[in-house]
Amino acid sequence: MKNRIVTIVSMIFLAVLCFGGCGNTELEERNFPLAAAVTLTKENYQMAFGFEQLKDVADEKSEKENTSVLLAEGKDCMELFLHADGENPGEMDYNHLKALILNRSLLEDEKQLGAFLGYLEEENLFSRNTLLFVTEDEPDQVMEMDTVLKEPVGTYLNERIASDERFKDSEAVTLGSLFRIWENENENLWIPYINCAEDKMILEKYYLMQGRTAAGKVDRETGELALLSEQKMKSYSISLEDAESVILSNLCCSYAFTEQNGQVTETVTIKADGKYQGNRELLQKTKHRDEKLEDLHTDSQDENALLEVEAEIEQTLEEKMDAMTEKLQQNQNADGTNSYYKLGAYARDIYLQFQKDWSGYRKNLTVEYHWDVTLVTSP
Amino acid sequence: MFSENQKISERQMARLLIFDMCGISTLLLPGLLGKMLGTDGVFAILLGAVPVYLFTFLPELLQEKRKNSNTRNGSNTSNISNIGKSYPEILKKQGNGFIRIFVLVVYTVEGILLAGYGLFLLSDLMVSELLKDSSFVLAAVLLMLLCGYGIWQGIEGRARVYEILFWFVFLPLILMLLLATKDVNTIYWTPVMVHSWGNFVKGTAAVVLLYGTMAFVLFLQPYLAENVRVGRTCRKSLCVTVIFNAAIYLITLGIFGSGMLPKMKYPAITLMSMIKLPGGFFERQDAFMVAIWFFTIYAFINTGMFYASDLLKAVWQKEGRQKADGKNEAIPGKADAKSIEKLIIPSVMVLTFAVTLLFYRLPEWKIMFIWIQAIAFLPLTVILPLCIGEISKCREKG
Repeated sequence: MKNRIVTIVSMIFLAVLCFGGCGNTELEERNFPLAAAVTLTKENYQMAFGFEQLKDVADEKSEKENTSVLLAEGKDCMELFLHADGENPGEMDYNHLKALILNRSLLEDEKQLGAFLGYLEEENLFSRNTLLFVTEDEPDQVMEMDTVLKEPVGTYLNERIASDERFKDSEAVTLGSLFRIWENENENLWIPYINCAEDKMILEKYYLMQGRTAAGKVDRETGELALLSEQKMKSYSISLEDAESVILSNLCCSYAFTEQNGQVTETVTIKADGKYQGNRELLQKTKHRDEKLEDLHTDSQDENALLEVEAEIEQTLEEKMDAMTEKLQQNQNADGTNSYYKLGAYARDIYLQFQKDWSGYRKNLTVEYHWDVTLVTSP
Repeated sequence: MFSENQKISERQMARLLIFDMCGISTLLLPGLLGKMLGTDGVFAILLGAVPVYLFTFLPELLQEKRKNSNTRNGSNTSNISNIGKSYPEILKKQGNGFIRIFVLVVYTVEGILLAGYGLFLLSDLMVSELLKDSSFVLAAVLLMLLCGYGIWQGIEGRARVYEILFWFVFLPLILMLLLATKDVNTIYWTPVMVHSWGNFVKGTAAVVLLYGTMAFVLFLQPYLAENVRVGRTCRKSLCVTVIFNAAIYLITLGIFGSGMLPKMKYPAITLMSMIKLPGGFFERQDAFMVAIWFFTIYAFINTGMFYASDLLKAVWQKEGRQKADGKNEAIPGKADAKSIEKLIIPSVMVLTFAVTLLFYRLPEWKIMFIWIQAIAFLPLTVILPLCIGEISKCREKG
């Protein structure tokens, strides 16, 4: 009896293995898009996929281009993806998608963007780790950049994010991040902004999403300073006069909030180590100080000179941060420090006070920055 | 090598209980509590464990009563094994056939309901996370057959498998959770204590409901080896489960935030797909990690089906005796009893599958199931044993 049961169960498993499993589509018959660009026209969603033709990739003698672009269009998301699946003889497999490039027009239409994200989340089509970008260029134009770049757009963008110091040192922005801020609402997301030039892709700007609101395009420096104030960058480099620069590292932010007559003041204190570059004399003094600190001896003259330089750097940074805050408040009506979502942790009373009046909070917010930079020889 | 006496050790019991409670609760609690309590969910996890913790003293309390009464009667039975003092034994000896049948039927129905819900959940998990666009019914049928096979093998065989599987299942989970901690944003844990008491009570009740299989521990005693400390083992398993639940809740909350967590179907599974393993050599670890919930929910279904079939068997045995001569003494024909017993497991399988189909076709019945659990079953699990213990005590005194 026991053996009979074992045999029956084994037969069932064998049948399941043979008849189902991973499906019977051959690898060559599948399409693996590496990047997807989506836009919104007046009537439709439009999407372009860039993928490698596996047959041509495998064939070294093939003179055909390895990459190809697929365009799809649909009134709603379901139609868009059905069109994408039906347009090409191969089966679409989105598991290898590396980059999703959203057009500004889609980001700025809250309802349509919500529908698009809802569909992606429900159908679980793209991985949450897919890198996210914004552009103003048309999807086909973005995807056709692979001929200029000599590699698929998805691979290029993935490599660029992994190798570029600026992006490497900040938190990667992915589709999962967009899902998160969409649902958690009052948070900032700084999405890298792509511009397709004739011979290259330029990533010099950011696009700010403040919860579900598209706050707009922001220049690189403003974006990076805002990310610094949110402690989302590991290092930052600022240029000073006379071709000198300081690389800031070991950044540590602390926040304090006070409220008076409905006016909230946020004090951001940022501590950092700074490595001075371009001034040998100063570097030497820093080195001496580092050595003497270990022996508990300090040369007061050198120390004063260094303190002066540190104060100068701190002042420069504070001015830059103030300018960034003002710019964001004026142009985007945005809170660059992403302070609202920190309120629950740092000032519960103020959070409860403004819980239902997020815009009122933002309107009455003042931000003060205090930098504390210590010059070091090695970051 | 193995005794094959249908008895399980203390360690096997602990692992069985952890499998039973961990799977379903870690899968459902983050989403449920995220919806009801958000940042306060972790307090509900801790507070919800308190009544279950107190419940774990019930087997000891019943044993104690039994032991005391035996000592009073002058019989030296205080050192006998678990079997002599078990709840089914007390149930049998309290004398009233109706009460006994009622209790057994209540637990049988509950076992089938729990197993049906577990089967629904596991089939849905398979169809939505692993084999997309596959047939739910087919998945449910195959899983039901697999569960039926598990029941056929008896509790000892299952306990041995879980004992071996334990570290294979929980070690990767612990590793993944440790890797996930670096992405946790502790700001998402705040502000605390901002939700209403009503939601807090609901959240706590949800936690208690998901630890519902603990109620069956009273019927486990006949299957335990001698000197198994039932209460202590239950408490140990509960602590492990609470730690896992609190950790998974805090990690999912810290990564997704209180706004997103309630919108997710299975946050723990999504979390597993997002964790990047060092070296990046293992791309689809989410599929591998689903195995954790596969085994744990499988154990949960098996538990429900096992108790349902076991108690149904007990109901039938009693009826058989009554029918034989009406004086509760004669034993029915051995062949008859065996052939009926053979039908019990397939019947439980069919009933479990029917409940699963009901939840699948008519999702509103899931709400009904929760109400049955909260209003009827949970109070009964405490009130009935206490009353029966008292009745049994009175009868023995008399």
